[in-house]
Amino acid sequence: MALRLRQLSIRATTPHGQYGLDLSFDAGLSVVRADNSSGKSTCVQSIIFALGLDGMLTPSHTVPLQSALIDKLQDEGGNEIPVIESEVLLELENARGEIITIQRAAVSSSRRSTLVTVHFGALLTRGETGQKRDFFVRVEGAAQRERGYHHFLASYLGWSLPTVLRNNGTSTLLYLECIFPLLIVEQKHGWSGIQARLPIHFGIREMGKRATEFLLKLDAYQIAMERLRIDDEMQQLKLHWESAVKELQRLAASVDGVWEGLASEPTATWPPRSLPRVLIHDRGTWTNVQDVLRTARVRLKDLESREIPRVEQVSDELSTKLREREEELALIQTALAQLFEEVEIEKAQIDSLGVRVSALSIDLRNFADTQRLLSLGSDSPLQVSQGICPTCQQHVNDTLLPQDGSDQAMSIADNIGFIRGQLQTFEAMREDAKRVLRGKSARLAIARKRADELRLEIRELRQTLISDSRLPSAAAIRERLILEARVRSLETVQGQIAESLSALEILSKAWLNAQSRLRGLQAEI
Amino acid sequence: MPSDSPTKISAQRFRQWRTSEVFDVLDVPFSFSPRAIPVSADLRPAWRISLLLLMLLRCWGNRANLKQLHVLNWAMRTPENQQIFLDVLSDTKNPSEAIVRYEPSLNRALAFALGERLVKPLPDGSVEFTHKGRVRADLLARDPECFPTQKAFLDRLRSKFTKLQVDSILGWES
Repeated sequence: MALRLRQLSIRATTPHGQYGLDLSFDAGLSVVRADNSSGKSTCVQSIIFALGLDGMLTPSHTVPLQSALIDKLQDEGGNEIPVIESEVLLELENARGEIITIQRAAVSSSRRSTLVTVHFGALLTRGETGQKRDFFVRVEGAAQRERGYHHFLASYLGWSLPTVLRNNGTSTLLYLECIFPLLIVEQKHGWSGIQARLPIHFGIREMGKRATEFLLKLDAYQIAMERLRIDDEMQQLKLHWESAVKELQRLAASVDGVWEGLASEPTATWPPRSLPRVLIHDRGTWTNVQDVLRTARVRLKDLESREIPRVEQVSDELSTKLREREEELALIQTALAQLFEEVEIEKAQIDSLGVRVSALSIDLRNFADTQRLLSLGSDSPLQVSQGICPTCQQHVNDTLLPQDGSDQAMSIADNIGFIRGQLQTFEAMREDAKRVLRGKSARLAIARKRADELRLEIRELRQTLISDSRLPSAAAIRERLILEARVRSLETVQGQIAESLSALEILSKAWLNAQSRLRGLQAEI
Repeated sequence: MPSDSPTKISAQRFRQWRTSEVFDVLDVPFSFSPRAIPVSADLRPAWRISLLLLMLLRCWGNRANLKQLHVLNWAMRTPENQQIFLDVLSDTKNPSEAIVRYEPSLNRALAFALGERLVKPLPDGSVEFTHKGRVRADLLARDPECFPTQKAFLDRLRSKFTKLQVDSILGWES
């Protein structure tokens, strides 16, 4: 809110001393309740008067206040006492937290009512007597000139008043008197019609509409700005998220793993129902990285506890192993050929889906044109678009296909929905195919690597078997070294993954926050 | 599985059904209601007529014959066609590489445009704007939101499109 009333003070000087009232308003909604003719309306009018908006009540330049402030007032006993001097003070606070106090005399021998004094400080509530400055009101130029009170008030409110047309064709500012009737509702004539009574003596064209637009636009503009800010923030979060995900995928790939349940876009719920985890393709099944690490550690410990065997001790074992490895290699080579084919098929599928998606996008864009065209020439619409033949006035289908009269063409709006639906489906299919491709490519890479490993192992097993039977087994040494390296890399990656996941958690919280703010904005609209 | 289990019985029962029984079950009132069929935007009269007006705006003298319109229409369809068209016009490509396709839908769009009194026929078989058509064409040309890609292509034409250029593309002797 651009303006908050803090306190209203009305003072009247009489031969019997000072009379008056102080009304202080807390933040939020204030309700003033009192019996009839005890001065509620006087208070509202005093506020209007202090804001220099008396022009919204009457075009005349007399002070539009009740006689209690102008002429004579009644004391508690009902005696009428003449008023010598009277003034209204109003303490305000704007959106920036700046507090001013307005002082305007209603009846005074020394001060004219067209003079408004602004004290820069909380004169009424805190007794601050800071700088003060006089402004003029209710005279020509009050809204536009430097010393004009409404010029000052508009900038205090942070409003830049729009220029509007007058009935006589000249342009003028939209006066505050034209805007405030929408904010202050006069209820003197009962509540049946609470439409704003807009002052017509300014002769401004479509004043109500302009004032409403101005007020609504204030909010709409701020909401739009806020929305842009949030959008920007979410865009940033998305980028951060994507780079974090990329890093996580790189980490997983470094140990031949793939992610399961890792959202590629920010999610507002963290932790997700199942925490994303790294799966490693290990001899035909996908196994959790922790399990892989545990088995590797157990195996390593087992190897370390034993002495490295000599060839003659393990030659039987090695022969069996060699046969096993050769069989595994044969299997993997078959699988490789098949996987390779599947990857190629998936790639072709993605390409053809891409063609379909781009064709649909073009059609959608053309439909956007079509919809725009219908509104563009709306003053002289095409008859064809309304289903009428321009020549014979018979029904005609909204299509350039042969008019054989059987099939009804879908309406533009329906057709747009239809295409959007298709587009969504095909895009989803493409995303799915991409995911499948990623999975298959990963499996292909793993299978290739495994095949290389197997070939190396087979060669070493063969070499060991034909080497001097008293030497330590090279295959056993190699297995131990490889296992050590594997455990080390798994451990590092696991640590890094935990770190990156906690980064995702922070991003997720920020995302939730931005989303709920955005939802709040939508509720406001 | 025991022989009297419900699934088995109903499966048997189903096999024993006679045709007449099937019709008994199906003998309920039914109706067909026609569903509108989707028609892509470039086959919508409003879209194509508007494009026609924009094309006419880029033709020499704001007049065009059917051949001219068909060639422009073909050129506009895909980015590849656009490039071939521009290359042939600037003599960097042989006209034989431009395989122009005639679209019946353009003829229908032209017929509608004539019916809507947006264009009028001339004695030599070409068409030109009516006042109403010209107003609409200018409106379209000014609007930044519609036909951005098509306008970008038309703007790449260095001069207005002439009947002579059409014949050079179609490889015909004039």
